[in-house]
Amino acid sequence: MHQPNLERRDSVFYDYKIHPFSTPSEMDSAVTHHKVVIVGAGPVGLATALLLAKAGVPSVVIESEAQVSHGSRACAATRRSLEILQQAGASALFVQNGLGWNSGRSYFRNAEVFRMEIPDDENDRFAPVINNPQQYWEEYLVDSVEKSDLIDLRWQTKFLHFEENGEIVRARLDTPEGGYTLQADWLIACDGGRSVIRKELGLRMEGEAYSGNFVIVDVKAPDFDFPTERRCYFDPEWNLGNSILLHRQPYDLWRLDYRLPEGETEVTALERDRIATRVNDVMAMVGKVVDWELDWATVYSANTKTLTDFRKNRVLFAGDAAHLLPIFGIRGANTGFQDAENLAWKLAMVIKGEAGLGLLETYSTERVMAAREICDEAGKSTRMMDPPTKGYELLRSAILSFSLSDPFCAELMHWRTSRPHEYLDSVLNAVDDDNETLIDGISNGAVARNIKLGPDEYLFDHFRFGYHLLVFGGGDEPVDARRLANRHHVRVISVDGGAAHADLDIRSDLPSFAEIYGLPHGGMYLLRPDMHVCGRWQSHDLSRVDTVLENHFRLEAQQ
Amino acid sequence: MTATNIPLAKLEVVNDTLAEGIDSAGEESELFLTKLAFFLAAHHVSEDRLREAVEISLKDLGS
Repeated sequence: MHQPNLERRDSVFYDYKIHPFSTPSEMDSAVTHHKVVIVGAGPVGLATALLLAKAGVPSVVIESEAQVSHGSRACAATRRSLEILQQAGASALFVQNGLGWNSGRSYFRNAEVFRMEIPDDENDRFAPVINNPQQYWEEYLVDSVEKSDLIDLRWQTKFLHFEENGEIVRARLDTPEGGYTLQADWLIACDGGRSVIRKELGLRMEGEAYSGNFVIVDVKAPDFDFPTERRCYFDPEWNLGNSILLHRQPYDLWRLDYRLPEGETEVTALERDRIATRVNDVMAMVGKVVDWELDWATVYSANTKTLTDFRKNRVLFAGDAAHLLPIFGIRGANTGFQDAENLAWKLAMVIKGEAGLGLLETYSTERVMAAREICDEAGKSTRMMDPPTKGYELLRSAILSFSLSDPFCAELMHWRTSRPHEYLDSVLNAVDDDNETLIDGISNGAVARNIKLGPDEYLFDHFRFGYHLLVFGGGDEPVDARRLANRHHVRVISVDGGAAHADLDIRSDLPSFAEIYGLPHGGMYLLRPDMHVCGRWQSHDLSRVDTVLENHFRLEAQQ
Repeated sequence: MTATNIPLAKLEVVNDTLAEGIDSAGEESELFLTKLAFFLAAHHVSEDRLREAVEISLKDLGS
């Protein structure tokens, strides 16, 4: 029988809670058929459950552990992740308790050689990045999940294996009280980088594995006072040829990542004395040696790998189960949230019978394409942080050397922070709209832009589950939103008198709204439920919106 | 020579192409790099520009 660790994890800043096991009805021989089973209650599994619930779809989430994960891990949530979490109803505590930041500095031989700022303007509700240890991410998400009547989170429940029979998936589980089988229409693998489900299916990932090992250390150091920003130190005297990353977290916590010197093993790297020496070396390097306490440490090596298909019949993959990404650029969980966002609406529409499997197939095509692009981007920053060959090592030395006197190539130190993928070639994009002729605004496939509407009011605050049609006034006569044949799927937002009978009427007094969307003389944007643009027009012809929606709902499956 | 706005995409191509060239040359990488610099200097760079590039590249070589 499964026996999870019931002793609270040690931590100098976080009070772990043991979540009890509750005997499910299936253990009393009741056969319950579920719509969705999600394996893994990490950030991506929990977010997927919340987004499905938002769409009205119930799910069961199983988690083998009795408590949230150990270590700061993901630790940095991007603005896009926070926008997704807002839609999932779970962003407030991230913002309230996290530390926001928008810049980073890189150092070489005690000189600042590169500075990067992430764009940030008044239309954004969230900071570009908010730091919070992953324990809190999971706690906040669990809090939201526990408030939902549509999510059944089962702690201390270990996934063993599964079988498919036609359109039914049966997952065999183990618990402290014995095993049972869970039956569902769909199984979502959010079981992390070492996914048991991926292994069971024998699926291989494409991509690169890097050989260098990095140690990640969380220390509590109240007197270690630096701004909240990403700091990278190349080639410090105590660790020549390597690099160190420094991230401030709330709760006086500091996250240090350093590359291990050649030849040092994972075992020796995690010895307390060795960690103490390294942490003190980092502090000495930045000129502030203070008292500190160790919270957690692990060894990590970088990968840029992805599955080539995120769907295998009734099994769907998301997050680290689908792709492995390096820490440089905060891509892991932030990419996983984008998976969850893309998957949830499509699966919900299929489950509710509103769309066919063709729509769900686009989850895999869009997100595999995104993962490949992200792997490519991540590979570039990883080759700077962890040169894989002598050639890259020499080039890195040249870039750093030039950075001191003639920084023409300093931008190669850019760590290419996680950003939302643009589904420019998606089959879900309108084919006969005005996307090609509209120069300004937001292109088909890109994520919509938030707009500040008032002192504490933003466009995305008004979004609910479903499509959104933004109808801008200023050109054609206002449209009657009731004439949209697919009205029940679409929330209509009228901007400056664009539509009558809209769900929301915005009188912006903000010319920037129409300008940002590139429609100062009126027109329409159709946004998918994941807030990506899928059609834009300079006219108010609702029949063209219906055509796009019909294409989504009737898309034929290829598998 | 001062910092110029060379697009990142171009820098990435230069970085990858040179790194791959060095790796292909293996133990002869020093000769490869010398030949490469000679070729580029002779074909694409004025004498003044070459002297300037040599001067800049000589800076900050050691730790």
